[in-house]
Amino acid sequence: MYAIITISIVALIVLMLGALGHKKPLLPVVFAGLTLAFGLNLMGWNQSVHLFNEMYIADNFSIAFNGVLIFTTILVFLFAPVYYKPVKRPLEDVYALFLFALVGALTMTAFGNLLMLFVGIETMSLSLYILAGSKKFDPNSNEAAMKYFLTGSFASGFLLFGIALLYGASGSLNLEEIHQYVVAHQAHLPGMLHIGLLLVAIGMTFKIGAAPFHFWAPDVYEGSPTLITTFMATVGKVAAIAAFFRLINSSFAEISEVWKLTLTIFAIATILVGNLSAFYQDNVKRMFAYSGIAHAGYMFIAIITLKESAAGVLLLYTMSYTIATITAFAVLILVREETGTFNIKAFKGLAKSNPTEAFAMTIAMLSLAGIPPLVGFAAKYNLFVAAIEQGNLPLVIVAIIGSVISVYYYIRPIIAMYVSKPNEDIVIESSNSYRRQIELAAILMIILGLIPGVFINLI
Amino acid sequence: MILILLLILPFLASLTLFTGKLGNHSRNFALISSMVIFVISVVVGYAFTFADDKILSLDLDLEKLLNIQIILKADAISMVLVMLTTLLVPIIITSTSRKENRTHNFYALILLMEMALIGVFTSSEMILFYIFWELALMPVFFITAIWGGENKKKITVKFLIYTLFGSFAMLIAILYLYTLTPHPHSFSFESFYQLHLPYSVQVPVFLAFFLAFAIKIPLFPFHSWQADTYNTSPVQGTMLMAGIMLKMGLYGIIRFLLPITPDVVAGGSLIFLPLILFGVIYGAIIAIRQPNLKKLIAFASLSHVGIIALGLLSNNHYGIEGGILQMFSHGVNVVGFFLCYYMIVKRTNTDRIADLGGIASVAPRFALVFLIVVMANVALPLTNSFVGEFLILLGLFQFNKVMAIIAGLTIILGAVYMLNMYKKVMFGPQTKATEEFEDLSIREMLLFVPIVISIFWAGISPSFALQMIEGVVKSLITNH
Repeated sequence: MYAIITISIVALIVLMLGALGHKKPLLPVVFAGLTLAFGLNLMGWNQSVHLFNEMYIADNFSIAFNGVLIFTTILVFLFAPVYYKPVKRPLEDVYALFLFALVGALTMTAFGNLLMLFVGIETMSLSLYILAGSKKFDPNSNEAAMKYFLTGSFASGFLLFGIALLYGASGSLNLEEIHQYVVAHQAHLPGMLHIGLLLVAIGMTFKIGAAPFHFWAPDVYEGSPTLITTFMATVGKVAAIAAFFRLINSSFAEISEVWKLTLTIFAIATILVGNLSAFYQDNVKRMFAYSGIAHAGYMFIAIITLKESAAGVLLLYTMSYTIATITAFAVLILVREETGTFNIKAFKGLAKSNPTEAFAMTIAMLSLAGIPPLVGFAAKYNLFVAAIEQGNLPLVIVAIIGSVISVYYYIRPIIAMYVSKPNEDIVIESSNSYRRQIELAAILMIILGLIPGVFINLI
Repeated sequence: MILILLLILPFLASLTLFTGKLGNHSRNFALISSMVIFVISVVVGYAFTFADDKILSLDLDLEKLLNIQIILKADAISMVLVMLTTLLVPIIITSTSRKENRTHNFYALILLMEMALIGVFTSSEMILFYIFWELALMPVFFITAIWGGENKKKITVKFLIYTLFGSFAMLIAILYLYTLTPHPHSFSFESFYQLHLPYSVQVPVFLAFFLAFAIKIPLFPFHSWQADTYNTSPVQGTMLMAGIMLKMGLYGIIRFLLPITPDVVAGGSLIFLPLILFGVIYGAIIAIRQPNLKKLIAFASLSHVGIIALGLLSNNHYGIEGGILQMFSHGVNVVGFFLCYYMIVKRTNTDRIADLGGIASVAPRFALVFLIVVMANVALPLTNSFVGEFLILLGLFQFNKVMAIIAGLTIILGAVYMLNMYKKVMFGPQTKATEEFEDLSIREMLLFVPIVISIFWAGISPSFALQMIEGVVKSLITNH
């Protein structure tokens, strides 16, 4: 809770500083605020505080995921100075919107009441809609914002309608009370609850960016400014998946027969659609949009299995996914800055000119593809074990086939960087500090790969 | 405890090299560390022969940290392959010439590969095994992709996807078997060995594992990545692949197919034995017509490893013992052959057989060494291959007489393509390319010493090695 308050206050301070015309102190204030929030968040460990009539629950689950979210935001902000270098104005609105979106995300993982979930989702989504269009004079950015806003508000409608139906069936918006209702009426649940749950699932699937409600993702990811895409693909996705996990886990775990088949179909569709579409992309940014869809499918497996350890596995998976994605996007931002294109050809010969960046990108791609001994493998394999222990062999087989497909498109930038001849006229230069940040992300990824057990057993 | 040293040392050496701080000393550093690792493996082998139950094991409980158990075990089969690896890696590193000026990453990758291979041969926990198995793919992929020759982009991607496809099939089988182990589920080899699956379950498990191994080895009809990849990879990469990496697949057959799916193996491995046999003859016949040396050895290798697989799957102790021995011999011989190949290419810049000729008259020392290596590849008596292939054929004969007779043909065919090649390359009139062929220098001679020694040692007194592996093979057979 203190973390949310801190971040909100920091966002307001940032807005005020911007209004007063100060540019220099903005980022230091943001970093200080986020670091403070990160610490405050962790201080609640093992205390399980319930606030505002069970509206907000700060248990270990939400603290762990909030830790990931705040940390991810810090990493995203690390790359902001380079990304926004050409922009002269203070950018206080953009930074503040990042922080407001984060506040929404933090609420989403810790909700104890469906209204709180909705408030969190809307806080995050509204900020993201604006951020997607924050490159005011770029038609692509405007298109992305428009598409995102229209489809997103539609999905919010579904979600809200579903929440209303759940309320109508169970007479409560509180997760625990819904849970009690579901357990008591397990034998004859009203149709209203089924439909309500389905609508909520559709709304959440949209926010996660999973098939069959993923159509907005590629265009929005491609059109948005890259730093925003990074933020959406990591914080947005992780918050939504954590919220969905929490919802299913705390209220509907006992009636898995109602939702399991639907979610399994969603997961299988997501994995196949994401991987198969990514296969054909020459635009690396778009490829990442589809790869993000595919990873959402893998994270669905954690929801479907719902073992005690599944939360820990999901935590590890989100960590491995976010760090690898951020690293890859950081390299992408650099490449785009110098070559002006997101095409895979822009990566040609990067290993010669920028060995550090190429190495970090390689680690990130291999980790996303799930090649041992990187953390991506540990995360995937633990998910598969959790699924197969429940006898869900078909799902695991599809997931593994998806992994085989994914290797192809993850390996393409690596081939371009190491094998292809460099583009002659373009030299990619990066500043030392930027390189050090990419190095930091790569090192984090390797360290994570050495100690995956710590995070699996955390919650 | 000393086992883990064999994993940590190459890893640390590799990391040191990756940083690039060593500059021009990279090659020497890699060479020295690989030699140190060889010495340690000899010490391990020494400790092993005096261990009571002929097994070295190490069990680290890092469940909290890694979520997997670290169980390392080295029995005689592991020891043979670990020795092969640690013996060949220094030779492979030395074979890089100073002129080519490979970067530090090249040596780092070779040492990383060594670590992964030792890990594969010693781990005794499925996921650990799988991690090393996949890890072993990456260095050789990068070596081929970065330093390869023509058309490397397409070929390496095909190679990677092909082999990963097999590995993922194996991963499914591993996960499935894991659910069958009694509670609490475990990934250790021991718990997998005690499964006693019904035949109907053994068949899909066999198929999944076999796919992974057959692609890695490669066996007919999964070999289509091999010739191109060998051809395009730099010679050190090819040595790593042909000499050691493909032994991973054969090792997998011994470790998993024989104990976990014994009934399928006893029943003739479904339809695969005839297919492998066909591949053996097919490889040998294609090898006769190959225009260049590297492709020739690629197809010859397809034939040779097919024979080993036949021996291992023939399900009696002659075949299996011969197979294990031949795994070692093939590794040594094929690396020997590639060294000779490399000497020729370095001096003449070509490996087309038609462009070569008359080398023997200007380079008698090279001619002798090459002859020994060729003879070993043909399985002449007194060389290492003879013992292995003889035992394999004996085992196969007990299993199925017709197949043994057909398989015996490869020895004749092998003599045809090898001797034919030797005749064309070494005798006859000199060509433009071979006019100024320098004989081997002392340093290059030294490179061949370990290879020649192991060719004759295993050929003249194989009993030492055979006694070592006898016990393990017996336990493999009596397990079921």
